[in-house]
Amino acid sequence: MSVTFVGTAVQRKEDDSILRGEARYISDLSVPGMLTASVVRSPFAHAEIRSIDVSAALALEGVEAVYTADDIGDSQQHLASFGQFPPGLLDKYRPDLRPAPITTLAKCKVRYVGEPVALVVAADRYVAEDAAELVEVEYLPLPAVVDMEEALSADAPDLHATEDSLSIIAREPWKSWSSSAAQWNDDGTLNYVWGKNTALDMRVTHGDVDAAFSSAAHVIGDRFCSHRHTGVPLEGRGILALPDIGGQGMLVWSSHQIPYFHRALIAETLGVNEETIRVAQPHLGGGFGQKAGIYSEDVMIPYAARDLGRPVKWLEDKREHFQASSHSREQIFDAELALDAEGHILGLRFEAMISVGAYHTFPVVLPYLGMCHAVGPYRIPTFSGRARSILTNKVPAAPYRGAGRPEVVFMLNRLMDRAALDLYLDPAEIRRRNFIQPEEMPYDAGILYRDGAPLVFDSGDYPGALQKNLEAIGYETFRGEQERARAKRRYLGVGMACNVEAGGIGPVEGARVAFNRDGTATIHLGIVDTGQGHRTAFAQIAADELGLDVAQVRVVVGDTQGITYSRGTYHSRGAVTAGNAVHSASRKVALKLRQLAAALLWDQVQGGVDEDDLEVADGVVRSKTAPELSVPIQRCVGLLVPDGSSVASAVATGGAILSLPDEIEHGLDETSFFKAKAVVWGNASHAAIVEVDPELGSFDILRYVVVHDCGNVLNPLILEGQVHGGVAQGIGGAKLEELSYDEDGQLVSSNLADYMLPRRHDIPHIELETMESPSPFNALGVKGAGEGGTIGPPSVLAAAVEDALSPLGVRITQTPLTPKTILKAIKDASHGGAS
Amino acid sequence: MKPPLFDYVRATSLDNALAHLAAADAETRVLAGGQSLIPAMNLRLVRPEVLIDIAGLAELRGIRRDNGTLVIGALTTHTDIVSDTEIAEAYPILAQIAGHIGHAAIRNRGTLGGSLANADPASEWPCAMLALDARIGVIGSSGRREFPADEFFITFYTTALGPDEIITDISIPVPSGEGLHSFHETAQQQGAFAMAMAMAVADPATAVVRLAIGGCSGRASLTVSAANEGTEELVERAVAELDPPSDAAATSGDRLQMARILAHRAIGDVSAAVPRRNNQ
Repeated sequence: MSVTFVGTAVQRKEDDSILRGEARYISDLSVPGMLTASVVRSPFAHAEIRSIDVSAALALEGVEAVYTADDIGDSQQHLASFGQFPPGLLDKYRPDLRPAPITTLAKCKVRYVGEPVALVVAADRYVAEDAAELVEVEYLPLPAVVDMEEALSADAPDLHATEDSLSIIAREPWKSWSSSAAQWNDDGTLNYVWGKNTALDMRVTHGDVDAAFSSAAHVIGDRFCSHRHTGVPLEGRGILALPDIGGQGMLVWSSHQIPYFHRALIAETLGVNEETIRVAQPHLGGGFGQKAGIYSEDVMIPYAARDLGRPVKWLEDKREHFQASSHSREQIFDAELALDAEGHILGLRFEAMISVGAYHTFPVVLPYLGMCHAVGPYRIPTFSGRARSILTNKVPAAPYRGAGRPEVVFMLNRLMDRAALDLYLDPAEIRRRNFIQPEEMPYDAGILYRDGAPLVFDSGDYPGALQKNLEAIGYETFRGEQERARAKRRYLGVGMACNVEAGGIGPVEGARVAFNRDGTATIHLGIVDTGQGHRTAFAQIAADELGLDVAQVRVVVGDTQGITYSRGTYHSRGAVTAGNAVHSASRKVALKLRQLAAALLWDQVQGGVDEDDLEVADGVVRSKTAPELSVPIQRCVGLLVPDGSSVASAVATGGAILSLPDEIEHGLDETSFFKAKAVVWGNASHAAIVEVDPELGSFDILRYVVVHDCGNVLNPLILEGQVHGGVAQGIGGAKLEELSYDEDGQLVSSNLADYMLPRRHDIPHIELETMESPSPFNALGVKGAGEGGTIGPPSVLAAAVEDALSPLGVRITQTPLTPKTILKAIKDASHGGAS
Repeated sequence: MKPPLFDYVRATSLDNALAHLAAADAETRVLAGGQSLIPAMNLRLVRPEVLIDIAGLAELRGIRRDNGTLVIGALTTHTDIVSDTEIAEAYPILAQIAGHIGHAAIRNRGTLGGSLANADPASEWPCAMLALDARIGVIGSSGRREFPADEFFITFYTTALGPDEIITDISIPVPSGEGLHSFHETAQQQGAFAMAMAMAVADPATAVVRLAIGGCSGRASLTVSAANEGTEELVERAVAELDPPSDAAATSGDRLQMARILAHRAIGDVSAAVPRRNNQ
């Protein structure tokens, strides 16, 4: 019986070097002659740039260069992202889509505090920061817009009706809104159809929602608000660019999730073919979506390295992280749910406002993932959602782990809880009455997914997941405990939230699997391991197919030299897309081993051995029907990947074959590209028990249970870590982390004292139960698992706090669950006379 | 986040440090644990031209009993206080208060004297020192002075410490019974800046309660109970003096409520020692 690695809790191969401090990150990299950069950033939320004087900075000893928008001229780029609307979606829903492009360096205007205005390159960071202070920028401050509704008001300034936006739109019309022909007239002029400061306005409908509402026995509605917060990877952004000194091209080390996209933008900035640039990733200390966008530094550092002919490095500091790396989650939903008398949902309609900040960088992701995650796991027969992306003078928004899902899941589950209250149903019961059932799978939700394909839930047992969770947390028993606690004036509460989670977006992802001469194998991936454990999970897949031990399979991630093309790491896609590509490429390699072994075994059996009767396992290629017939993999490798000594040894051992059979080529190196038919849908049920102190507005989490289903599990240990990390981030986001701005658009929380990350004391023991509903859409039957943990916590904690305070009639409609939010909800309940 | 250039002097003794301080003609700061000063320098919020580092001066570090008084050297770290056996025995509440400060790495370097000199209104020690009726000893070119805590703290980051002076020691009267102290604070998370804190110290001999409230005004407030004053009146008198800030996590009104609740809880804890009216 051969060993199978997929599905087992293989210890993470990367942990040894990480825990010993041997793993290398950008900040560990240093090369002779290296210079360091610092960025001059806007101190104003909204201002015109009148002039920039760099002479004093240039005069400082140790300063090599200062670059402004004027200095880089035509290298100024529109920093687009992968998050664009695909043609299918544009055709179907015809969004009003407004480009509000972000450029490499601000030229005429700045639109948020922290926006890059100039880059200083100097001998070290101390000198670079001294010089950055000496760059004199004359600003004309303009009124700042920090609130979304204020941005839509008549007297708000139009943030992008200025020359710099329009000139770059005119210069690069094919970018980002390339397919939105509606915005472009035939003569190439712009068609202004959008509202002021509205970057996107779109409506998605399914069925006759108005009829559903007019026939409803109950209509439940409210405003639900999620607050601005973001990922804070242990390792911030960073980049080190080495100019081309040997003719093989420029080498760029970067802490980025999509090296191939990064490479493309560098190539455009430098005006060179992207094949002349190699982008590679050392270890990454987290990405969370923030490192999926292209930032000014990502192209300016390579620009400076080429211009100066010296290696240049830049590392983000924590203040820069808060002021100049993407934010997320600030959304407002005005939502209504129509139900019949028994509590069955008849329709859902909502209007969402998504704060995209100062620039429109990921048009489709946040608004449209919100739409897609509103139509499950509950059956929503009719649906109408409107999403508007609103421009303000804040840091641009981008996907953050969960990417539009936590906000809409908060809205939907808060509505379910409210409906339960109004209909005198248990919150579990109203969910049970509305789940899409396992036997309805695959279930077409009636709208398109973000990739333009129909939105089809592929598999899953949504009612089963909730039931399993209620049993794990002891839901029925808890209600008695809650009563007894209330008698002692202790406020305990339980909350639950259910969600679906799309992962594994296509269209394509590649993997290259190659044997090395020593009989080990190497997997080359274009996707990036930001901490997920790629070096282990993908080795497990290949090891099973190649008859190797996990230790014999090395995984190289995030290097543009590995394969020709990759889409990178985002949208919980690694295991699904790259995993299946590894599986397929490994099978191609195994097939070649079997073909060669069949040839080698030809004369040992009457009639030869059929290659279909051969399997690759335990270091040999052997007959399934007659296992004594086998060829060591090492022997095949020696023939297929030969060197002088292996040929000599073949001669020495009297091997009959000195060369390969004619029909077999040299090489054991295969590449596969997995083509995704559609995304795959995981699901989860979260539940928590909390104790609230209503006098102080604080609460403790006593229990936290997750039932998680991401299809077949590649490695339960890694999955558990993924879910734990996600829940911890979700809890931090739900109660601690807040990016708040004052009325002038100054970010108030720009350090780790004011922006509180969850610590040990804040995170309870997280209990995880797993279900496995394999996806029928890919060979491994896997789904995405990277983002699931973050989605549930805001919903479930709000529900639990509300449940704890139900004797006071409290309603929670917003996050974060700070003392301010909780004390206000208590006050509102006592004033509103809720019963 | 790198500081601009500055000169650095490592003091070899207290006298040496005072000599450097007296001789300084540029913007000079004394560096102890550096847990507030160094981040502020990295953010370029403060720009000293000279730093005099006293962190290595053993003469300013340590905890000793002097009759009925506990004398703590200014450079004694928060961790020293958490782990000191004398304190664990005679004055465990000091260890409890120190446990609220930041996290372990901060407590390992941060010092009691540094915290008092910094006078951050959200810090625990200034509030505690007021309630405990501590005396703060300082030395400078004109010799030694001693301040009652109430005269030492002025307002946000401002104390009575002269520009040529260094805090040397803190004297705290040791209680003569149990259940005489209580400290409560509420923060968004363990180790974060407190949104409000209250400490009550009861003296059974005089039936007086000293109530200090921190995090809710420019400096911690001190309210001493009057004869026959009920808890409600005492707390309201204390709360009336507060002017808490509003921020993202709590409004000014929220903080007043927290201060009131914590003050009641603290006084409730010591009420057995000094019975009062209105106690529940």
